[in-house]
Amino acid sequence: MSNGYQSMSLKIGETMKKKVSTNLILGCFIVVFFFFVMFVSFVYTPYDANQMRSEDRFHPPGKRYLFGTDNFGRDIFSRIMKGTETAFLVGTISISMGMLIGVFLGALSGYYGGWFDRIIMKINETLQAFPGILLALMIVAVFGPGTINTIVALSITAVPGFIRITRSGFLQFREYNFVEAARALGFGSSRIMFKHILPNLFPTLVVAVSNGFAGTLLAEAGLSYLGLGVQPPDPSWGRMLHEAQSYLFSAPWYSLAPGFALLLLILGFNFLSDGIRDLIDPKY
Amino acid sequence: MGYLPGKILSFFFTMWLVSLITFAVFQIIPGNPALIILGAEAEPEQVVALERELGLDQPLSKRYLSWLKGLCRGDLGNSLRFSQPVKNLLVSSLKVTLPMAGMALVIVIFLGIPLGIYTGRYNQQKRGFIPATLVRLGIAMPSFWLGILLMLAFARLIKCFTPGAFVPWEENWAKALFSLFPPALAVALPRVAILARYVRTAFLEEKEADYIRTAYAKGLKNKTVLYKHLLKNILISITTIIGLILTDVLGGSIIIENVFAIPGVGRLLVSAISYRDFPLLQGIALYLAGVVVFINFIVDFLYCIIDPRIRIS
Repeated sequence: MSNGYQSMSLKIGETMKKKVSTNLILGCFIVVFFFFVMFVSFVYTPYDANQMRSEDRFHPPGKRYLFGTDNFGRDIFSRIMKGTETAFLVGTISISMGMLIGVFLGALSGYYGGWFDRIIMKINETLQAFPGILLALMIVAVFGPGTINTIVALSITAVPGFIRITRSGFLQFREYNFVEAARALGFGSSRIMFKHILPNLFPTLVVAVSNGFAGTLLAEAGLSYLGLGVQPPDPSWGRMLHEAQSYLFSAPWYSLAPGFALLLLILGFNFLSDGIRDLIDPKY
Repeated sequence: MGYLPGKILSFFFTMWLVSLITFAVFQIIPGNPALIILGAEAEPEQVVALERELGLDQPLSKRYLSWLKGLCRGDLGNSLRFSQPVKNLLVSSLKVTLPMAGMALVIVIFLGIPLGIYTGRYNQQKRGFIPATLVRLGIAMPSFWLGILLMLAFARLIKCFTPGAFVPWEENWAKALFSLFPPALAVALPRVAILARYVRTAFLEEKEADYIRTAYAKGLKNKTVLYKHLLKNILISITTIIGLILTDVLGGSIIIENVFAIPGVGRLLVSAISYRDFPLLQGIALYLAGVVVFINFIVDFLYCIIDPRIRIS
């Protein structure tokens, strides 16, 4: 980068190779690792994640319990392994739902423009006025806590971002010659929108999904931490942090492990989205 | 229509939409809200009385209009749990939240901008490696976990801090300020990283601009170019980001106040949710969103003063 733009464009192949090797590989490695942990947790955890052993309450980390035990004598390591399920479940469904609705509305809005676009954009702008977690909290307040309601709340929270990205992409691409050509060939609007324009947005959307995943993880953990998201007995890292805080000074390890898992997975998704963006747009 | 009158009109329209959305969200409560609030074993007379208090016996449009009318007079209704006007509860908790958010914003600006410039200047160099890594960690850091860690650190290392003990302003303002510092830090640090990243990107983009090459060609010193020419132009693009960050700080403080058990708006919000105190909830949501719309309006206004190009185009 410091050599300037010219030399970079000369060695674009090498630059790409160099870019791939840092962010993308690190991101892939972390995310795949957690994915692997999730699959392992289906068939094997060192202990039963929900089994309480009163004689082993607050067992510090060591050989017997890798990350120690909690206030009920449950193995924290096993619970963190099980927590990957909740993290991926909530993240995947929320982001998919948010993306489907967001891309659909954003596509219509950007392609057709006019009054529909203005209404959607105004609603979008207003929704984004509700800071971060507030919208999700309002929805949870109305429907009550629980895994499914958390997913509903986080899906709705994810929609505005996808609308914005898709709309600006459509605004850009609808002026291109290939769209005009498709129209001249007599293709219908829906075919042009979803078969011709939308594939051009895939790279941007992949980055948005990866970024959104990190945000959703954070929001789920936040809701669960407040006791308003995933409810026991489903293991959730945020929920574990909530329970751990009462014993912060007597059993600090209980607060450390779930938070570290959360940080690492979010970091993984951040690396991943940066890595993909480097691939698409080597200027960064 | 000029730029500013259009903005003002759009501000009021957005405010109205915020009120509509806040009102609408709490209308989709499945089942009878009065029954949900009171619980299944409530007496029928109690339910009827609460329905009347909430205005549920009136049609939707009438309810919205009377609520909106109250809003214009600054009356947000009464909290069910605390049997007090929502406005009073909000004002007393804002005395805690706003100073904390302000403190967090100061930390964000005074750490984020220099950090961003440093990481931009030493981009992909050895000297920039540690700050860049910190920025990366900061962006991924869940602020409530950071809060827990800070609590651990402050209580273990600095013995004078007791978590969860907020000293009221009337008692001792210096102590109150001190007790707000750890939560403000927990809210601020992840946003420091976010701001630093924006500044770094802006720095790297602006560095390629023609006027920078001209400045170097004139023979100006590196420092003069960076801090007199480049920084000024970066500040323009940062102004918009500050609005976003302030929104984020407000959202983040909702959780952090619960981590540190500080009696602010976030704490009030979560207790309103757990007691299903819908009027209070509505009031808080409306207020927070209203503040964000107002901040964005101010930022637009500032932007237009700082950068005259906006007004013309």
